Amino acid sequence: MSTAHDFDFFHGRWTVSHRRLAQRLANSTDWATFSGTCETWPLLAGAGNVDDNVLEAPAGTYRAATFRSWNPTRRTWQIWWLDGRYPDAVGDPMVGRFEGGVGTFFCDEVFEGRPIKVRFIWSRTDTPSPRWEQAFSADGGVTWETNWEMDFTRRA
Amino acid sequence: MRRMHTPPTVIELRRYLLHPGRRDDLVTLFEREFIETQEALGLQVLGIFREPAAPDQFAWLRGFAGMAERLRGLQAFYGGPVWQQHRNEANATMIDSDNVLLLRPVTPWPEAHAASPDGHWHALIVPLARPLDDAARDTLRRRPGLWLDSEPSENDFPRLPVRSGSWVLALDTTPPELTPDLQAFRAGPIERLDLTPTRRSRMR
Repeated sequence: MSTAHDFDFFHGRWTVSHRRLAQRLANSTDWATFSGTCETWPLLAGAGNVDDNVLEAPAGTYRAATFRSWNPTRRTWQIWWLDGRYPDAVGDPMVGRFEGGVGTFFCDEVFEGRPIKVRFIWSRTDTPSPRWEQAFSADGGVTWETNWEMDFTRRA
Repeated sequence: MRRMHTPPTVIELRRYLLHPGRRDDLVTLFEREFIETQEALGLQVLGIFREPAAPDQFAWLRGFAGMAERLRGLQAFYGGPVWQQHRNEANATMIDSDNVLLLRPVTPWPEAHAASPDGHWHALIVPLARPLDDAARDTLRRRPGLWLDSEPSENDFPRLPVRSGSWVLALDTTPPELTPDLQAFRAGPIERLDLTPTRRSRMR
């Protein structure tokens, strides 16, 4: 059952292994791997959290942050991503919850001029190495292409 | 208190790689918070060990009455308040907790074990090219020590991964011998573990 403590596992400092598709929704199999760091801490007496990322991407290192808040009435999390290269653009939140230890979140977006669905999945949250992944669907959620995976290892 | 013994028909060998210097922290936390609370949910803590030759390795055996009881127990424990309260502290000691074998005893698991004369238990881990057949399991039944092979069911609690493939595990108070017919099933290098029980381990 989803609660305000769903992201407590993620508080702290992490090393991140990134795996990202070079081109999305283009039948690409060209994955770039790179490293990063992430630090997460709670807000709103635990009903929210924020993480701060350094991404050592092949095209150049950049920073990005996530903001998450828990809606106790709807029992959902709202998740926003701020890419430091585009500091005005927060966008619509991903919305979802945890069930059976796996968190799934969705949002409608526009990608290269066409409407898509975006999905985040948080898994392995009971292990020392949690995983986040992002997928796009161009057919309303029937099929999904995963385009970004992050594997987290805790730093001291 | 006399504990009711339901013989485990499914057993996990869980081997954790820990951050340097953190093993004693995990052992202390585990023995304080995770033994009775798991046992209350049918998750049997069969043995808890350090590897003296590998200071960052921690191993334990967890038993279940069956796969259905395993699923119920794991859902209850990992969805429950004890894990919520202590998960971060536990996970912070670990680098990797994926080295898990899902096994079944070939020989019935005893309710009690004779203590090891020198305080050491020894494990033999054999990767197999294919599951054991009944003839091979029969041969193992006649061997000294405790023998286990892979539980054929799928892991239906994917929140906690288990290793794929077929395996044999032997446990004894002296290093187990690899049988000649097991050689025919072997798919890779065997592993030998020297294990010392922690203070509260049932296997001593």
